[in-house]
Amino acid sequence: MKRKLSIITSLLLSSSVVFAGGFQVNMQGVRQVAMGGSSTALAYDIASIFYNPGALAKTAKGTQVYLSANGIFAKTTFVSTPTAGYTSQTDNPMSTPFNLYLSHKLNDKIALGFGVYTPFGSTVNWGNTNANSLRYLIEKIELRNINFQPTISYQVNDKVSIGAGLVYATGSVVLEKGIPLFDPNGKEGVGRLEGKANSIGFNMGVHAQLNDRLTLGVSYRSQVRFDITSGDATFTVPSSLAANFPTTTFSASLPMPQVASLGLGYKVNNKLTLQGEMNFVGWESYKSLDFTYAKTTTTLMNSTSARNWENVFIFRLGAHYQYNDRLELMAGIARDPSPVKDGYFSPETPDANRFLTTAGLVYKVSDKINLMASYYYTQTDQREVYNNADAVKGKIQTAAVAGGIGVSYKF
Amino acid sequence: MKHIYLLGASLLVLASCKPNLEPTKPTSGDANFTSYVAIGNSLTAGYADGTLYRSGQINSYPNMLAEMFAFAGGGDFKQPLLPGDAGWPSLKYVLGVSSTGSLGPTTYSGTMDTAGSGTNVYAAGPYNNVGIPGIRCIDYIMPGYATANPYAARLVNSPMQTALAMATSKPATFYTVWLGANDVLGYATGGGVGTVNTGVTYPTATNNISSTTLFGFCYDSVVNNLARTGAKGALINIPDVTSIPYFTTVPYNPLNAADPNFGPQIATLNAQFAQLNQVFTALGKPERKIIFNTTGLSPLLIKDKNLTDLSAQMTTVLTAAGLPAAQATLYGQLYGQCRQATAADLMVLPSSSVIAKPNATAIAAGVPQQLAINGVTYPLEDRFVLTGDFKDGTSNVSGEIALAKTATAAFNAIIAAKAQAKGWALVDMNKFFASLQAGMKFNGVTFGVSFVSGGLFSLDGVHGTQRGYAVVANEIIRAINLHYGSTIPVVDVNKYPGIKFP
Repeated sequence: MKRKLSIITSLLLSSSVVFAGGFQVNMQGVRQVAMGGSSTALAYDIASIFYNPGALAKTAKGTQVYLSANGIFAKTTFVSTPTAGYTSQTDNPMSTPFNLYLSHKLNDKIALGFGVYTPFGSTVNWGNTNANSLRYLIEKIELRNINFQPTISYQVNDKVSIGAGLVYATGSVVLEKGIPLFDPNGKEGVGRLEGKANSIGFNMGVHAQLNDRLTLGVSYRSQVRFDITSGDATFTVPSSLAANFPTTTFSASLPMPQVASLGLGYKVNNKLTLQGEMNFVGWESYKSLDFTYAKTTTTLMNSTSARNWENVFIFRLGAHYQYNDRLELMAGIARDPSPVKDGYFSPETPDANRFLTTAGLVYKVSDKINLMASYYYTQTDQREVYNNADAVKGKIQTAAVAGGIGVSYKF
Repeated sequence: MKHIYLLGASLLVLASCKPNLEPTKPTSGDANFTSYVAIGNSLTAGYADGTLYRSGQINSYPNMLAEMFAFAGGGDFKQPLLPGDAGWPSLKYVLGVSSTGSLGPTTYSGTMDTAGSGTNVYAAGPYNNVGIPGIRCIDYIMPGYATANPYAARLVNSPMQTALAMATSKPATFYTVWLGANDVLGYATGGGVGTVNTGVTYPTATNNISSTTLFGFCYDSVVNNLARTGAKGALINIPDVTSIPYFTTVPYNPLNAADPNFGPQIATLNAQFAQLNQVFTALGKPERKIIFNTTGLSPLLIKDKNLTDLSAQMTTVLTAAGLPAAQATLYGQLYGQCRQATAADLMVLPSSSVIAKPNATAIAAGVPQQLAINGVTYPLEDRFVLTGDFKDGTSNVSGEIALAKTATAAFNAIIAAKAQAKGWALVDMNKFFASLQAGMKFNGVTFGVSFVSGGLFSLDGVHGTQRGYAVVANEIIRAINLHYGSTIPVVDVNKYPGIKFP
């Protein structure tokens, strides 16, 4: 055979990256998680640096520090259809979103705050063995996003406060996918993309005490777009094909969407407060995922994969019960629809509409210290998914639980 | 601090949560998969890379089907496995790197699995996969066939037992039958050297096209026999053999003017052939002129036995033109029945190892070296080309491809009629293979029919890779589900191994 075999064009890295669970992580405070993820209208603590900077002037007292973390356990099952010949299951490590807030009340009117939090992120690991039929689409993805947000909040009058923060966002992504080329030992090829990016955005809000019973919150967090300009692309393939898959750099761009929230709190009596909230999440900006390589070959080509996600409205309902001077109890529910349209399934974001239930408690140890805990549970709908571009078809479902703990300290 | 432990314990509880999505249970519809037997040839046996070896058998398409049938009442599936993985009775091909750095099939460097491979394994049967590499439909009811085929010899209880008797020694409830490819494939892979049989001729030579009459008779006997116990099944038809990489990999025009070994010779070659070309024109066959392009690609020079042999006339004309008698005679012999290839011709895979190389046999017979370059000055022999149709002067010459296609269509008509008559499923593999020409995808992997890179065909260019066989299994399942109303699941193509690269 004196011919050069032009091996495997276009079948590789034709689609790709990103996150999971709609990849928003709505866990920026323990009380808030426990109340179905709602907190735009109710100003309990300085987690409002994230949820509604406009409420910080009301929640900040003296100098405070607030620390919380969650452990999320999520599993997704994929079952092939029409009938099940094979299944795949994620084996995700526990992911641990965390939050750190600092605040200082400068005077009666002005509060300063600083937040470090993880608004987006995801780890999905489908596995790299041949038990996972989806591995050429994705084996593993880790998306991390940490935001740093200096914030200022101003009490306009007795009722209304406003606030805004500058967001400095850092992001990183690692993704691995199988390449259907086998070495003499039968070991399969793998491609690994790793990239980092920074970006800026803002977060602002208004909080208003409408009357003795009603509070109103409005907040807006801008989109943050991560432009990876020089990520590392490395490929492990049989040595005779190494020239087809050069080590190179890549560029890609991922949007962390804008979120607008409107919340209403209602004080039923001295013990019970209810809150309703609606979030608009601008996923529409996630139109496609494109990879551009510095070096391309006939087998390693730039790729573009349609995502065409859609904007979603999330509805949340939370209840807060002041059991006694020391103990607060919370519970909540939320309907969190998937931004992934039918026909755009990608195992990197195995998303389906979810209904979540939450609960939690806060224990006041002393005037200075609060201990907090929360519980989160969701089981998504069983969703028929397909993607004709990749010829993948099946049914998916995700279950996730999370336990959160936190502590706040008042100096 | 005991609350911390409580928290730890509750985290463990959290970690055990998982989705309650469960696979739906497949159903068998009107079919009964309790006992499944696969009838066929090398494709059914799991043959790949030019031979039969154990892991290929383990991942044969019938075994894949049986694994899926098992979800809907299917029983055990026993295969007559060979002991080793190197290939028997010849070594398998593996991909190697040549001295020039290009990738291509080479013979596996390990030791052949001779020990125990030829042992008759009838006693350990009956087997569910009774695929016999090389067997034609017309061989299936022939007593004594096993004496000519070592694969059949392993499986029969005596040399005189027919393949059909062996296959039905334990009646099954469901059969797949993929017979008939070798009734035309041998002719095609042999470059059309054989002939087309008719009537009740039973040729022992395997490079002929089987008689349609005999094919029909044998096919009828086989299926009637299988169905006599009330079994059901699926009949799989014959893919157009000319669509496989064995025929589509070597182009008809591989001679490149940019090649330093060829380009500088073009002017000389064209000057030499100019006189011959005048003769072709004079004899009314201008289409046979031999011209090499000074830029780009040029077609190969091939022998086409269906052309009128002009040797004598050419010698006469050349002699009259003043050429020495010996030279005129040689030219007549060499070029009296040749032409340059066209896009309608198919070069067989083994031609790649002889093209543009000196033909030692011709040289030994006295042909000067410069006139003995295969495909350039020496017409590529019949066995290396499956010829297409050709307009030769005033006559339209029908080629070997047409014969293969005609036979395939005739055999497929017999298969379709039989499926209809018995009420069995028909798997139109011919149509499916045609659709594969455009490529297909499975969970993000693109498959195609190109040699090696396409991923469907193994290194012999005819048989499947294990992933290729999985794709075939899924098409059979699709047809079975459609016909019997069953819901047999598809095979995970990505589970199986592909070609290994050095």
